[in-house]
Amino acid sequence: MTFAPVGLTHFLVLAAVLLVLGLLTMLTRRNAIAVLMGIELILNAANINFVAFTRYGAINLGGQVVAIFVIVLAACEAAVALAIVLNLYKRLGSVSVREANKLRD
Amino acid sequence: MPPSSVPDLSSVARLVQAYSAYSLNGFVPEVILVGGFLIAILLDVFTRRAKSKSISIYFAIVVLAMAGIASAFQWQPFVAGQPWKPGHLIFPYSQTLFIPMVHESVLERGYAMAVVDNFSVFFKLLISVAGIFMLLMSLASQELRERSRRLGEYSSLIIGMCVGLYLMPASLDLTMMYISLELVSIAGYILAGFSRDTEHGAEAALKYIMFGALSSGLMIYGFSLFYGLTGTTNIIAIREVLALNPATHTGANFYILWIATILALVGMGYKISAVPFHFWTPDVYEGAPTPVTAFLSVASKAAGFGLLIRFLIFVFPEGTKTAAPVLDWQTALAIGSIVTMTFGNLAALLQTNVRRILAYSSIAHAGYMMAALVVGKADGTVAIMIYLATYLFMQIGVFYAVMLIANKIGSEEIDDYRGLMTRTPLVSSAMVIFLLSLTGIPLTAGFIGKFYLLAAVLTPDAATHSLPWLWLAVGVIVNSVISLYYYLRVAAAMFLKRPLRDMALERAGQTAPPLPAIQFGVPVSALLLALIVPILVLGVYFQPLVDFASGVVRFFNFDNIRY
Repeated sequence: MTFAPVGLTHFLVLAAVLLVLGLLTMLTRRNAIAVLMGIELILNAANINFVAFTRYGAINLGGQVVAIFVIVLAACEAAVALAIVLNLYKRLGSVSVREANKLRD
Repeated sequence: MPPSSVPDLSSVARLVQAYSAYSLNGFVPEVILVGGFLIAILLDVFTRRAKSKSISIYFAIVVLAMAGIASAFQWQPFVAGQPWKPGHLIFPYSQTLFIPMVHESVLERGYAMAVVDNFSVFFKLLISVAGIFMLLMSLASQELRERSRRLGEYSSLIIGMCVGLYLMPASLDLTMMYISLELVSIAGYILAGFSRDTEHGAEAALKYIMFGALSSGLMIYGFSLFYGLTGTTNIIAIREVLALNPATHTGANFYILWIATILALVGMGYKISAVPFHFWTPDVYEGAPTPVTAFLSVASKAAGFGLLIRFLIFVFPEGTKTAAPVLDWQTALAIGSIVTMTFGNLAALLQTNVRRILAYSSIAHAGYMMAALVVGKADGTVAIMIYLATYLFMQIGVFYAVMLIANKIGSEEIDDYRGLMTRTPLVSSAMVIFLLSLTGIPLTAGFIGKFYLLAAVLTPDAATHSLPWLWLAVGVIVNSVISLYYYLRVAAAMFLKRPLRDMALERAGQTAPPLPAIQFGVPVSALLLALIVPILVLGVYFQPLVDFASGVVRFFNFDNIRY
């Protein structure tokens, strides 16, 4: 039994699967921390795309540079998001996004 | 290998290197902001007493004014017949080092992270003015005064946010677009939750970051597809590759290009709060401190539109319906526009909280501006810029009036606004002027914005002499009429209705002394007048603004946007 060598398609499929999983996580989980993990999955899907295109497209190194920027910004965003979730826990005693429903029509 | 087949790239590389250092000349406003940001943090350390913390707000005003003046100096006079040429390129780089095929004078092609042209200068000035008004407004905010210990953090975050706002309309590269958008968003998340000790503040920040992170994540995924299709992150180069290489937009790649474009528009649509990426808007506008709400609804939206215009016009210049690449983004955007304005207006009808009414109305205004974006051409871009400039004064003004009233009566419910005219005539009449301007009544600035917007949407097609977007214009007019109802509901409550307390007492057969008058200080009233005067002046004397905006767009030179 032989396998096709790992190529661009494998990485693109992996990234697309990660994107869908991230979206599903964000839409179905009610724990704010789990929702943040979904965001990380989406960002990593984009990163895999960028790096795979750079590696197999062999065009330039631009994609790898973008991936590094995305990693850094994801860290910033996670720091702020965790602070906000922590603050929510202090106010409501829970990190469930369903509990945060005081503001509505 | 014969030496002639290898292009002499060392000279290009040297040129780019030399130009990179030189490019800092075009970066002065941002450097001022970054410096101000660092000093504001230090200032926060050195001011200990809560009372003296408000000095950092004055400092931020000075920094924003300086940055605004520095960007005004970047204005380039227009020379007739000259095609679009970038001014200062910021952080230029060479694609030619990697793609020798497109090796032609790299600097003229404008491969850079960002660019200084009149378009970005216009938005920088707009953002500076909005920021200064917003900081002046913060001085009067009760909500912020209660948290004056953290004012240093507040003003430094505003300066930091302005760096991102300055860069958003100037970006020429997907990387820079993403970074500047995130810079604005991250500062915005913290500012939205500034009153973190209240449940509303905590919840507003949570909702903002959830939707923001989701949409920016989808946007960067869309950008990665653009990179995969074209092999570059520069929007000018993307346009070039799409035009030169049909393989990038035929067959299956056509759908990939659609997906990439839609995902990219998700991130930008979230910034301008277009339906269906608007869910955060009412909650954040209600939960955030009022000055922050005003700033988000003006500056963040303006920069979002700047980014959107730059992206759409540079990647898919006009005429793309007939020429390659075939991507009918205009119809998609037109549907988005009509859905956005209709949803915003209908949802606003149901609200009882004035701040929520304004939040939904700001969604509707995004819809109006998207209608002009559909037209795309010079007219549409001029219309959006005029609209944004007039929108700035009325939106900040109306939030300022709401904040002043909330400071005194502690409520934003429409029922508590009853009878305010007799208690505070100045703020009530100012509020009515702002509301009428938001509706687009003649003699106010809002009318000029709407007029140019409709004129742009109703531009006849040059080839067929038909009106391709007539239905869109009808949608804008019908929606303006709907909006009149809820804007005037607020005005009517203040002017015509009697307070609920008086009515209840009357029913019980008692009489009570009228509710006490509300007094405001001179600086507060002066700022209110400073916001009314531009609205009334621009309502009749708008030619300078129109000339200014069309000067910017002539500079773009849509007729020969070829690189």
